[in-house]
Amino acid sequence: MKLFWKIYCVVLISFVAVIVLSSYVTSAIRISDAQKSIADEQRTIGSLITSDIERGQSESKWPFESLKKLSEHHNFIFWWIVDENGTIHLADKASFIGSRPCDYFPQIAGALPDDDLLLEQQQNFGLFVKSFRAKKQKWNFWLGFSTEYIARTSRKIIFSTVIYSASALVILGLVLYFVIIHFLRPVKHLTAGAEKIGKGELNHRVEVESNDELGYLASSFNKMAEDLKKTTTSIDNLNREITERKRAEEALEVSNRELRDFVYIASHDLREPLRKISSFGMLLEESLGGKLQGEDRESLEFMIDGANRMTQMINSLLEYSRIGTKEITYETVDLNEAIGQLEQLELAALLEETGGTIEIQQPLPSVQADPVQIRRLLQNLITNGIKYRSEGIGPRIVIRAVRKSWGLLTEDSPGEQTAEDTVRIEVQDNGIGIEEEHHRRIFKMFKRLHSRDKYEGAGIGLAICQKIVERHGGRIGVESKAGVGSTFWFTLPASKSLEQEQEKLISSLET
Amino acid sequence: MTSKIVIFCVVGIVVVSFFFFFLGQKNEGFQLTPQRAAAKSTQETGVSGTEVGTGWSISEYPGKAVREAVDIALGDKGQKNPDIAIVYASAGSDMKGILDAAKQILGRNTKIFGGTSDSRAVMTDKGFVRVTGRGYTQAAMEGAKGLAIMTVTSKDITFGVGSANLVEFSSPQEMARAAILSAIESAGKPAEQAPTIILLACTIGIEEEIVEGIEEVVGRDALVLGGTVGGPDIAVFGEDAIYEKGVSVAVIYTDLPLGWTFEGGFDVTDKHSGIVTKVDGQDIVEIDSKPALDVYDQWLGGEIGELYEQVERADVVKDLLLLHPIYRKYTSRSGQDYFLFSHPWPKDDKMEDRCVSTSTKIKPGERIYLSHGTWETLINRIGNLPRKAKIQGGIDVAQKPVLAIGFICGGVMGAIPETEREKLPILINYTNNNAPFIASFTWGEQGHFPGVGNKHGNLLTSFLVIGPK
Repeated sequence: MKLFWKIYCVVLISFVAVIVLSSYVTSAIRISDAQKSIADEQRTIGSLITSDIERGQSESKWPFESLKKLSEHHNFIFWWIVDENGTIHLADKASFIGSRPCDYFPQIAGALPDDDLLLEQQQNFGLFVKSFRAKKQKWNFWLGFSTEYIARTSRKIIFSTVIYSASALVILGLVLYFVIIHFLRPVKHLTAGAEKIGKGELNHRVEVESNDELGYLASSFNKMAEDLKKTTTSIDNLNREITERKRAEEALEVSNRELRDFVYIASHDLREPLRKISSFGMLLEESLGGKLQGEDRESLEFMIDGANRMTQMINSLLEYSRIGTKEITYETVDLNEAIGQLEQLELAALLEETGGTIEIQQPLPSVQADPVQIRRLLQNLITNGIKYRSEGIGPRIVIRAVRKSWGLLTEDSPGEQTAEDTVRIEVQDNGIGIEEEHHRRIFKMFKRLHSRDKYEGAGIGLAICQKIVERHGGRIGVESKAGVGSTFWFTLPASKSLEQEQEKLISSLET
Repeated sequence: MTSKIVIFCVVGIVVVSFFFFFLGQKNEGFQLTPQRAAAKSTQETGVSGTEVGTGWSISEYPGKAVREAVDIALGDKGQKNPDIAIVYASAGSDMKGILDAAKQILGRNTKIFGGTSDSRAVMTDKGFVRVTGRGYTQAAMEGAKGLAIMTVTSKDITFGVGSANLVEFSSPQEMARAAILSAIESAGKPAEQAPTIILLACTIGIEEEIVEGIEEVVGRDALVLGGTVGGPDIAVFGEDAIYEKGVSVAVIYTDLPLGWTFEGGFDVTDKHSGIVTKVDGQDIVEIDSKPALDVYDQWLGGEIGELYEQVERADVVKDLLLLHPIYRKYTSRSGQDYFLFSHPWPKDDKMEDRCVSTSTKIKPGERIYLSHGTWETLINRIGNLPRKAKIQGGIDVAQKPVLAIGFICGGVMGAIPETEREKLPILINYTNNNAPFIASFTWGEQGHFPGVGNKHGNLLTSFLVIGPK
């Protein structure tokens, strides 16, 4: 249990530091007090002795009894009574008498200090000197005392402090051990619970043992385990749904593919009999020549015409089907160039026949698209604009990349690609226009708003346009009013190399 | 696991370091070694024509001891044959050998005066010679035997010595008369010329008779100072022999100023007293018609009985009574009170005989008093002897005497703690201005109470100083 040992060691070390520090400070204070007390004791004794001497001098009496008791005290090393000449007049040992204190203490200059002197010498020795007057002379009382008592007292203080501190540490260590164990028990249970839940035992719960933060933590843990259990169930359900949906989509895809294959195969296989009907119908018309009259001839013509229309429809259907299945080859397509080629090739005869014009007001950008399909897209839109022209008015096709669309495309079409990588192209005509109610219907396959007699066509052109745009990841739409003209628009991914062209376009628009 | 071990090791090291940091602070003890003070010259007397010297020895061999002491005393003296040699040797010394050696070394013309001192010590201004015959520690001035000597050669002082052996006389008084007359004759003076001062060295038990005999020759106003030679093996010097029962007398004729003191160091309160109603020699049998020891014990509040019950040793009781002596009061014609002390002790070691022994002869009808003292007052009193003597003799206390001679009670010396006794000569030197002196420790003291006469007592001190011109 690593956490236990971390906490235990940190707390124990902290306590050791505190106890050691406090013990040191306490010992130092107690020792200092003891030293001061002993120093005061020397002063007091010195004062008592000197006053005793002074009192006795009127009777020429020395306090021998007091001095002897002083000599016998183990704390005192010697005492001297030094006369005015600096000579030891009386001492605890007669052999000191007659010598001079400076013989023993050369560091004390002069024989008679003026004031009380208390010196702490080395080797556990202290010296107290006190002056007094007797018999009209100045005397000094020198008291040498042992500070061994201080050292002994200090050792006792230190020893007791160390013993108490060590005992306190041992007891504290044991108490800490059990206290931390007690407080970490819920954590231990939580850890074990987490391990069990991690192994999948979602029904496991920890015991809430207290009403504190750890109890709250245990409650939260249990709640979390409960939520986890519920969430896991939901995710399982969701995964199941996704799996099922994916399977449905795959089945749908398979179904669509089969349907596309079926349409393609059916269209392809239908072309042969239809071609035979049409060919043999025409051979029959030639061979019979003028033999057929009246309703027979009309029926034959209907048959040939129906076969031809059927062929046209099947071709359109095949084209639509190919667009949906053929793999797109993305290239950078210059729309100006693409429209120019259409104008000169595929649309040249139609423009000449109708007197129509194609106007590109500003250079168009390039797009990332399949060049064949994009040309088909533009061709269909331009052809529609010319085909559904108003009577008496020459068709006029204006193609532009609307400036608005560069910056506002996202606002106009939320969820669409951003303006930086999408191009919106508008193809505006001045034709008959489309009622608003038909705006969506016109993109459905074989949907026609006018009779075939009035406007030719299979009714699949816009459906192909929608298919091309959607396969390129874009959108297509129309803004139109009847009698005013229509504006078909579509969006395509912009070419990266177009950025400069965009800047060029923007700057030209500004000018 | 490793981290735990490291942490515990750190904690352990901190604790152990803390422990040893404090407990490791050991200090050496301090001992200040005394230096022997340079011996002061006490040979300068300040009086032309007078040479005084003192010396000492601790040798057990008489010849060597005398030689050593004389060498110290005479040292640089011009006269190697002094007029007189005052010689005291610790009791138990070969006194005859010492006498013979002194005669041989100093010559037949040098007069010898003295005898034994208490077995524990002799003393001069050179120091306290502690005798270890009773088990004292050996040291520089300690020995199995102790000898002190004072030599004097002077134009201004005339000495005479005389001695007598009791066995040769019918009474102590007769012996004393013979001795004093012999001394006067030795000084070359006529018998009717009383000496300026008479020094006594007598044996125990006959002191009063000796004083009486001397007074019969020189009169009661003659100044007698002396001491009963200390024992236990006592002897006094005769001219060619030693006497275990006898007297040695020295007479001094001089015009030099002299002073003396004869006193004890005890407090006299008159609180307890009684009339001696029955005696037996030097034993007091009854006080106020009651057993003397009972009365004495009553004066001390039963302390004697209690002490004996505790220790059952009479000598311990004797030591106690040393500081509670009895005294007699004498009033001079001028009204001055003098106090003559006696050291009492139980006669019977088992305390069954309720007599109180003394070393003095107290007569029936005399009133005795109880006094008290402490060793501190005793040592201080001894230290002040020269000063008091000088004052008594009209000598300026600041003046250095020519010489001093003391008879100090051995009991008083015994009352002073052993460690303090060596301070005695220092204290005397201080008030005696470091003049030469000699002192013996005696078992009885004789002295003079002006207007009263010469008396013998115990626990006293007789001290003589002879001042300069």
